[in-house]
Amino acid sequence: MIPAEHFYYIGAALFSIGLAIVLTKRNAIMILMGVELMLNASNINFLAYNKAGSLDGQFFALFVIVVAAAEASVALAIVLKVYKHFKTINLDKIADIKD
Amino acid sequence: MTEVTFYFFGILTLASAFFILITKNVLHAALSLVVTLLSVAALYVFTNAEFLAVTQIMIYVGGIVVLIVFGVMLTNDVSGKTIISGSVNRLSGTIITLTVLVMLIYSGQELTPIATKVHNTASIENLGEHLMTTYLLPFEIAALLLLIALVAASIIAGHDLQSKIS
Amino acid sequence: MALISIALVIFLIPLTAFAMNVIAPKSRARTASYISIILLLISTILSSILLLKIGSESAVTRMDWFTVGSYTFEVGVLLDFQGVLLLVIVNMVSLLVHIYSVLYMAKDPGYTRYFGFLSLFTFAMAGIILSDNLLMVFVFWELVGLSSYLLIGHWYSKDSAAKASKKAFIVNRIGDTGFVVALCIIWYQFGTFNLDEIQVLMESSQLQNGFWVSGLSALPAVWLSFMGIGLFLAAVGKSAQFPLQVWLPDAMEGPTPVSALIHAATMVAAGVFLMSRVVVLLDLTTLAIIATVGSITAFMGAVAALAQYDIKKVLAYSTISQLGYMLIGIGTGAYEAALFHLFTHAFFKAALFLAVGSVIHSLHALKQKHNLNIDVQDMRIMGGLKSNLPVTFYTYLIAAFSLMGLPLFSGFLSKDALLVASLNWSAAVGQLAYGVSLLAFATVTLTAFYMGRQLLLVFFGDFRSGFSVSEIQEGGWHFKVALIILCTLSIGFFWSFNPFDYMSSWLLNTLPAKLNSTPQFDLEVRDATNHSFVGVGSIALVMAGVLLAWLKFKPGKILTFAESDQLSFLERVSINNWYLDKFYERTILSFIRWLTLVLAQVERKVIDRLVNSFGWIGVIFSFVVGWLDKVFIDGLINFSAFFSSQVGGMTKSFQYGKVQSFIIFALVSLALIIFLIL
Repeated sequence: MIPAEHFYYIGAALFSIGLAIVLTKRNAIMILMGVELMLNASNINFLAYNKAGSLDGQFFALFVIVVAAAEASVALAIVLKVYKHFKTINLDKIADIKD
Repeated sequence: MTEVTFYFFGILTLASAFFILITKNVLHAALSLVVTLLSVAALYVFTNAEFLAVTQIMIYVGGIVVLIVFGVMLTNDVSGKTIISGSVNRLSGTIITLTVLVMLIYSGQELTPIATKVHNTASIENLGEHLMTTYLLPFEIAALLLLIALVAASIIAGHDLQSKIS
Repeated sequence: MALISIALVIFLIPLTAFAMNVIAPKSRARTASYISIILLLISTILSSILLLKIGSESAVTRMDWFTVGSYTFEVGVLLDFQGVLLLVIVNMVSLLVHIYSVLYMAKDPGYTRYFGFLSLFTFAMAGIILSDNLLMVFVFWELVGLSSYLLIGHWYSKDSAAKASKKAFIVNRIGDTGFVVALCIIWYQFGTFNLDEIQVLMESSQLQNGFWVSGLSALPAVWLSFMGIGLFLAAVGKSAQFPLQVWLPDAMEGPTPVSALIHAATMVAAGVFLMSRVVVLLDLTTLAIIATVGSITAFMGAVAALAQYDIKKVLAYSTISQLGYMLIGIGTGAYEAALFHLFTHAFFKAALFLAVGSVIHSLHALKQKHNLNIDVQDMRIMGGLKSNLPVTFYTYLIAAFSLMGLPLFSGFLSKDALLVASLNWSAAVGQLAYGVSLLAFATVTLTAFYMGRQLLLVFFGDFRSGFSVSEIQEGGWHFKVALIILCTLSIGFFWSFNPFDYMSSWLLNTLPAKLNSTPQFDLEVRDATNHSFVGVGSIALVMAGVLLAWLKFKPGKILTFAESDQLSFLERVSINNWYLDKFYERTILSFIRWLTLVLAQVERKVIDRLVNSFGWIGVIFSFVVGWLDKVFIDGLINFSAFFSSQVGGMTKSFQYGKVQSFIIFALVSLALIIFLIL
């Protein structure tokens, strides 16, 4: 039996990596990937700390996946729109162009 | 054997996620994301959530990654050269991330694990039954959310409606 | 237990080699390829040990894989004589192809990719051989298809190679549809995919009142035939049978060692091997179809090989023809003869391809030296190469004799077994069935003719490229090792103690007789009544073919080659492979194109209009709502917007439009708050 803390540590590390990607990448799509990683990290915790005999954690994780799917589709649509408008998806450049 | 497999997938998850962080090539990052998501799915199996693992593979690996790859291809001039993405805020990003990591691990030790694994509660029948009874409202809301996301995504990214109407 | 661990090691070695070649850096490419040669040498030795230990036993080891609902899915390893023997052959041919390729591909930019895919191919074949259930066989079956796609398209920047790999992949998918249908029927009827359980259940199943009854499940008897035909369709795709054989000649676009591997031991062998695994499931209708299709394929392939000028295409069509023979064996109930031919064919066909590759390699060197614009695969520019490519010539000679079916060589034994089986089957079934035997015997002559033609055109006579033959040089030891080993194993003594009589072959005597369990199937294919007649007859037919080739292409005769528009009708049919490609182009492909056009019209005219009218209703509705909006709600909104713009103006100074900086600020503040509280 694997102790739940180990899931927690993996989740924490995965969350941090996702955060680092969100903070440091220039490309909007890379940032989306970081967000997906953070959502996955939270899912790992939902499942690992699922109360005995209950399914709440699993359902939380399930709905997180659903929301993530919706989020990814809308976010990518926005990215496409942004690309159409600014001809780039480099966030720094977009901030510069806006002024 | 179970432990070995678990740590293998754990390390694979973190290693491939780290590769996304360090690589500059967006397509390599997307491929590495596939590996991460698959090994996270494998981790789900260790929490008795086989259904979630399959869902993860179908939705993330099958859907979202494909979306992302399409996003990469549609937003770049992919005529043979690799798509490079640089990084910003390196120092502050590292500091913040490490702080968050330390905080998470610190607070993790405060947690008392309530999890004791119970088998057979998470069969697919069981899940489906709960989805249609206890969790009916969230289920319907999720359905609505997906519809809204579908419409919203197609409107945002799709043709310019206004120019057609006027 | 020991056996199973050896089998697993053999199974995993090629995968290791694949992974190693994929991650190896460009600068270490040669080291990586040598290491994978050593790994494959180990797995060849291990599988030979396994072969010695297994004898005629068979062993199954299983473990649970996953549980869906109440059903537990198992994976396992099935070790039996035929599988392990094929494993030895796959590993050995793959090893020799690896060695050969070190020299052949030496200057190729995709060197590591090439070796990685070769190992992947070997791994997929080992998976098909060792799997004990049909679903795993299907998984590895697809992996074989994938790796052949990757290898045929190795030079993917060449348009024809890309097209050929796509064609091979798509044509194989047609066959796989049959496989999937058969799997569905098997699952419905037996509830298991495990081969040994299927065999037991099939033997206990019966045909009653037009129903096929097995345990609790009963299906109309026609589904039994559907299942057999589905499985056969899968083999038709992989083993290039009529009408799906069109991918194989195009697959010559891949590097020549790959052709050797595909034609000898891996891709096409998979189909025949699958048929030998599921032979218990085939009923009389299916068997008759298999025998008919096999004989048609054998004849068509042989005819198509007659007039080819491309040195590799001759061999490609001859492979199609020989695969047709193997399927005749399956269809006439002589599955062991089919396997025997598969094994002997593996060696001599690999030898032929590697010899041809050596010829091409030498001519390529000549082409580069003089900066010529010639097609190095065209037999019209070759000739007289025997003196300068001695090793290639003698190995080619032995392998070609074996393919023709001359006594003392391995091909004679297996072809003899197949011909006897087909003749006995024809005699047992009746008049029309003699057509199968007739085509099989006709193909013997044709085979001898086209092999004799190739031998004479390439190695005898004068060198027709306009250069001195002394400028041709043979490749290094890599070529020679592979060629000599392969052609040695094409000699009859290795397969039977009496090289004139297949009945005394150790292989046929070890293979368990797996007779079909369908009722009224009682053919005894090892019956030797026609043996001596068939042996003598086939030798006479071979001699006739060789004589014909000699008369037409004998050395010293001045050969003229007609332009493509002056060919006779027969030559045109042959060189275009019976116009099958054109036929498919005209019928199926143009039908699909027409269908897409029609569907596009339907989409545009019907569906788009519907959607548009919905859109218009929505637009009108939203105009009404918009008017309400403007009057009532906008007042409120405008106020809040004014308010927030004031607030925004105050906080603007913190922000300069970089999202990620915002997140950093937010996280820093969050951390500060947490530290303050704690």
